[in-house]
Amino acid sequence: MPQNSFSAKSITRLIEEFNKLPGIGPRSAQKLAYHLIRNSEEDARALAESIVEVVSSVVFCESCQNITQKSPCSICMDPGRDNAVICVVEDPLDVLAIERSSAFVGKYHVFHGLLSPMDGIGPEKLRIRELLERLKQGDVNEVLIATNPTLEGEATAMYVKGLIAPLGVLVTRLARGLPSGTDLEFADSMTLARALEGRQEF
Amino acid sequence: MSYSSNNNSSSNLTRSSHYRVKGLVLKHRDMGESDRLVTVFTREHGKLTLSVRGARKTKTKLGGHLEPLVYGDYLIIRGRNLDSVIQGQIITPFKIIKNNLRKMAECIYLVDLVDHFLQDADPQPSILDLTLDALKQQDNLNSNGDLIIRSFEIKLLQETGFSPVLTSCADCGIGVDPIKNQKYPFSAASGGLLCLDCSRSHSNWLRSITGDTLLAMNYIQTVPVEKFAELTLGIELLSELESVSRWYISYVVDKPIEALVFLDQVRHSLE
Repeated sequence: MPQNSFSAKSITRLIEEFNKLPGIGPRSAQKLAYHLIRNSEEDARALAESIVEVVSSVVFCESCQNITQKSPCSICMDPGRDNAVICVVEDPLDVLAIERSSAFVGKYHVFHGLLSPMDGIGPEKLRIRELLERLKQGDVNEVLIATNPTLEGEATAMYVKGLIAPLGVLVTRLARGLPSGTDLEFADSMTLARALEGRQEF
Repeated sequence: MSYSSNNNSSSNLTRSSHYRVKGLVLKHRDMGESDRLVTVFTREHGKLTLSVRGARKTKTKLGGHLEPLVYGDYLIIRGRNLDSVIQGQIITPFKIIKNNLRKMAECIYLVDLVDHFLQDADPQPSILDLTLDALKQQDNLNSNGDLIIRSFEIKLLQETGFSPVLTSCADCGIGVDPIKNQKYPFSAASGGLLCLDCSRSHSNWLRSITGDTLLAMNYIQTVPVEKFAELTLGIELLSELESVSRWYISYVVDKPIEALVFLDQVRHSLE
């Protein structure tokens, strides 16, 4: 970065570290770094400490593979949740999104990615084996696949369904259709076709 | 061709702030908080990388129109660094492909292969038509994916100028008339069949190939894509064709085709 050649080494390093974060380009990295320098030292220390604390205390839940501070995580340990239904999601943020809906009372399994054939991300890079091991214990009678309705999400869902089917567990998929508050005329033909297929008695 | 364009916007790229294309979405990747970068093989301008603002939001008008393996009509606005898609309409969604894991894996390989052969912004309408016709063949529950993929590979090599020499020695040019059940030396480095004399001077990228496979490859080059499904090739022949094509393409492309690994994993899981 030529514009950093006159900056202090420590600032250059901070900018480079910010630049590694997703969605942060070189300009944003510079802005963040200089914002921290201008702000109080106390705030900067609090940020640094929270980063260190997170990376040193966070683990993967031995059951659902979600990110947690204590394994098994609070959702897996909750006696009020239904052990018989597992919702499979791509990443921990999807767990938060489904939890916000307050409509799901089962447990989760986080894959930490989706199959992405053109990027070389195959099944061995996802936590599919851990899901199959959970299912072999026999407590689960439904797996709800809640991967994104994208090509990668569909490929993952179909691949996983093929692995689960021989175990005799019901496999379901999140419904696909029109989001609330949108215009029908802007829907693509695939979404409309799925919405028509999944129509329900009113 | 049923997919031919009626759009004459080939010069609009340089003249106007907007332009319109018809194209096949080859791949996409996430960008920023809710945007996507899509690679579209357009009829008018070849392979373009375009941004789609807000494509990952639930209320996006564009996300579904720009999924890989969708052929659509797109309105694009020129940007300083990157052009952006602002409107889209699906022409062919290839629905059956997306509801069948094996077909999906085969078609992802197909578009990945096309992506490897294309240069940015280099219009190749005949390759686009070939790809769309192969996808159309695949978008049928009863079609034989292996047959379509093998034929597509040979046609793609032909269209891109990498077609192997099949009826004469690729080094000295002496005519060779392949006979069934006979084996012949085949060199990826020389680009095809070799006579016995010339084969002695080769050691790398050399393998043997049966006369049956040479004849089949030669025949496929003459068959239009819409007739792929009518070809009758035995399992052994298809298997050798696959092995030769993969080997030859890996030499031509000179980098791994990632989607091939997934295709093999899917085939293995479905056996």
